[in-house]
Amino acid sequence: MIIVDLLLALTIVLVAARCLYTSNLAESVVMFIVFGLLLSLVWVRLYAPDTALAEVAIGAGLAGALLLATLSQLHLTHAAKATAMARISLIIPVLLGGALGVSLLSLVQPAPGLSDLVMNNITQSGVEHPVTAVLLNYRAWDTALELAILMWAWAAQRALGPNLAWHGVRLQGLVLVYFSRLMVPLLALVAGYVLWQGAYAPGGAFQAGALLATAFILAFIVQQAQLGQANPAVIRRFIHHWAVKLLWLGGLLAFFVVGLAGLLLGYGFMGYAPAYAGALILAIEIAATFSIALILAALFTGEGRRYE
Amino acid sequence: MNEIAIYLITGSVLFCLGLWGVVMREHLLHKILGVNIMGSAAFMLFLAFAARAEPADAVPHALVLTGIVVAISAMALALALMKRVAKESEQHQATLEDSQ
Repeated sequence: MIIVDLLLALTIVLVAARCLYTSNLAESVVMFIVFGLLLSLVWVRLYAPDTALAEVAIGAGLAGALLLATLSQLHLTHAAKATAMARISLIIPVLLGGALGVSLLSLVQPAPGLSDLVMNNITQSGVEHPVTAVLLNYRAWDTALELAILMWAWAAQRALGPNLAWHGVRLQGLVLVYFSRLMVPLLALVAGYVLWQGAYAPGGAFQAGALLATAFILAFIVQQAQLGQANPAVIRRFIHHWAVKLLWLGGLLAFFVVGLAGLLLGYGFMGYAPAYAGALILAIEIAATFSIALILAALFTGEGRRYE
Repeated sequence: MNEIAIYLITGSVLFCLGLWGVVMREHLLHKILGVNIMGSAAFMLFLAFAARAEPADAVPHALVLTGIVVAISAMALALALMKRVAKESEQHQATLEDSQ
């Protein structure tokens, strides 16, 4: 297996270098998507299946969609060519990074980290999967603030004013329609499964939210290409319905309601009663999934502007 | 040499490569991708250190999971800023010189 690791490491460095070096921005973007996919393989090799799932859905999938959409809105997709000096200077990061990496090698020895603490308290956390326990119980604060960052990024993007016109190609043909009819329900189903699975196996709100966001984006593209059969007026009313807006904020609200309830009941801010921890975590996760999905999709579709 | 050592070196090299992209390339898209590669390299170091424990330490996994979502929100904002720079500039080239 060491050969797999070496090949993977070499490929990922070459792909990253090519991504930054090429003057063709479309090639850069494609290389970045490949980089994200290779990265998720690295995460699998480092025994981190949760992060691999999130990386492949968010780091490669959503980031790729976002970058390609941005590319379609730029007038020029060619950057200035790297100068000869820049080309030669590419050797510096490789050497410097290699030297830094070699200096880290003395740290390669078994170290338990915090896993003992995590595993000793897992019976009280309400879930069986350690990563979910850390995300939604031990370090629930981080996850709540991360949802706040998502909201903030969306609001800041919106504050930049109306987006450039959507330059998506009006796709002809029925492939996209049939594909989305097949995929959207499947994505919703898999998202629900991944969410439920999170209690005792890799999975959870992030991955499920990213999958659901993909379904939203797919539906959006079909509608933009004027291939959908839904009436735009109905969709507009649906998107601006107060229940959907509540779902938008739902993750943060659920976190802070549960957090304050814990404070009042004497478990401290964001503390759960051990007997109800499992149910509370599931409730927060469901709310967070919808929030993450809606905000991630809005980051792609253009700052939640009026549906046109 | 085990896989942890390999990925520690790869992570360091990727971090420096990303920094090279941020410093040496002119186009803002290259700079954004460079920052993202630097972030991914930091995640790689985190997870490589987490893999030293048996089973792998869950706390860095959760932190990286949070980090991936924060990275995509930062990237979405950066891309919106870049589009604004490209729109305002005359040559429609999204470089730092254009934003002045």
